[in-house]
Amino acid sequence: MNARAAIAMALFMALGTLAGAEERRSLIPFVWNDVTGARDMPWLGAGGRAKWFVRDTTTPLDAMDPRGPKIETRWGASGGAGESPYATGNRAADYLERIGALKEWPAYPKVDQRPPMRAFPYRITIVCIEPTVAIMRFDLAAAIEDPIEFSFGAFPPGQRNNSHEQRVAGGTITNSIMFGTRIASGGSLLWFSPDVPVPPTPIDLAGGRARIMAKGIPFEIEQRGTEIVVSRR
Amino acid sequence: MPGTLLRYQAVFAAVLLAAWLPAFAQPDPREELAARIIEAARLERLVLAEARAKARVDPKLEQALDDEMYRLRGAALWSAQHPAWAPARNALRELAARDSNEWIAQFEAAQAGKTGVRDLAGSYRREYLADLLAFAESPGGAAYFARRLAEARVRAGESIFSLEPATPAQLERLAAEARKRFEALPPAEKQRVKAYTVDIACTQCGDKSNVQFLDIYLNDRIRWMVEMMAMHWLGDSTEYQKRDAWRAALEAKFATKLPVASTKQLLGTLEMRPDAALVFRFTFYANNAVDGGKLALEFPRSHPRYAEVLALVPGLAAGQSRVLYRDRDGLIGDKP
Repeated sequence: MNARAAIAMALFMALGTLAGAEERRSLIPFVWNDVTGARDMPWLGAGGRAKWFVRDTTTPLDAMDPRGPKIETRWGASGGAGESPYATGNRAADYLERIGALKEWPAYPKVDQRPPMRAFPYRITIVCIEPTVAIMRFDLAAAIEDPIEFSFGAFPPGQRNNSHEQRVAGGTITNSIMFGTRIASGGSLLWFSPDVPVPPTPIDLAGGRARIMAKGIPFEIEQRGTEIVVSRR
Repeated sequence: MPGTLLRYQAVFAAVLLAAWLPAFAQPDPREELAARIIEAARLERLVLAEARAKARVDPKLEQALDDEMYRLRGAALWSAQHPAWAPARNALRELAARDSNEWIAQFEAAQAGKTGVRDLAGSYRREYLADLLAFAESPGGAAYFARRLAEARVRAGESIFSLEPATPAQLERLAAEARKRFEALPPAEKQRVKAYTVDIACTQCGDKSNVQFLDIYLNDRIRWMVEMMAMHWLGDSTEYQKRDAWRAALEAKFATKLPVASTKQLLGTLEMRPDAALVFRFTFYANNAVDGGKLALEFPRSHPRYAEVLALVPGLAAGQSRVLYRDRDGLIGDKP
């Protein structure tokens, strides 16, 4: 590599680090910061709503790390006690795989060493953590990876402006798993819980309302206009 | 004093470096020979013709055309069986061919010509290059390379990546003339050609003739040029504006013949089989092709979601199939 290229590379990395620092400037390093903001967070067990925490553990020695800053994410009552939202999402998808709920649907070809993705025609929304409770909504389009310009349509209208903050990993499911207390309406609903455990179970919303119970925690599910709202009494 | 010694060492090293660098920057004398060989034997044109012959039958180029056709309209809407497919694809090929001709002219002038000289100069000893130049500039060598190029151009055609567009008939005529000129060489020149192209020049290096040694360089260069052509077919990957313009040109030219355009997401097709089962079929990007992967989700009549799926396309009868679209609010239907 010649000197000019080396200088350009160094500048590029330095600018990248600066940009990252700008993004992270509001975080107090090495402590859990509550950055829940406008996120529609899922319920937290028998308590209120979960909160979204991040911790920046980047040190000056990481300036040249090509993976970028070291940011950890947790959700729950506190950062220290919470679980990574991405681990929760993966666990929910893994549960469906384990109990055979995905095997009915075809798999995409394997890419690299990753397990093949499933053309699963349901949108999944985590509505509660500790225990994890998720609602599945039938949507034929969910079997195909959402093009970016159409990805907002999977979210309830109230979440579309910040939909990028309302999703977590989805294991082998084609699209990301969503979270919150609201779900777009349209399509049959089922619920499941990997923690109770409860396999996908239909929700009868015939009268516009339904009730489910997970580990003694009751959830009210109600159709409100173009959204399904999950609340607790 | 160790500090003073170190300073002297640094100054000495700097002086040595300053003396050595200009010597290093001297042009390689072989490059002048290589440039003259390439000009006399028209080797760069030969590389282009041979590369073009391979590129013409490279499935990647055909696939790239298909991918662009599916960007014009989704795979659920049309394929090679659609009446507008062939004429639109031919028009797209013409646009891409014109662009490839412009690109290769610029590429040869700015880059490929220079790397050709450097590669040739760096691949052989000076004595070999001097002999090769003498052969290329001789009447026999000139006729040999001219015939070889003319025959390669016939094989390759001049439809894409062309510096000198010509029809197949014109190329055939040029090849016939080149063959005639070669056949008319005096016996001494023919013997020179045989000695250089057929007779073994080196028994310890695979019993090769001089031209067979040259072919090692040419084959490497042809391989590289084929890769360059594949990369730049249908424009560079970043030249989306160019491809947008081509699609707009096709839209204008085939306005009434193309399948209906839609601003919605094209999902796939929903078909009702004779047994009334519903099958949702869709394609996805795989194996380097827009339509490289296909999946089908089946909903037999007993499936709990059957009625819900059927409700997406009211009136769908057994044996029929409809295209499914999804709007920005996530609603699915069969209206474009």
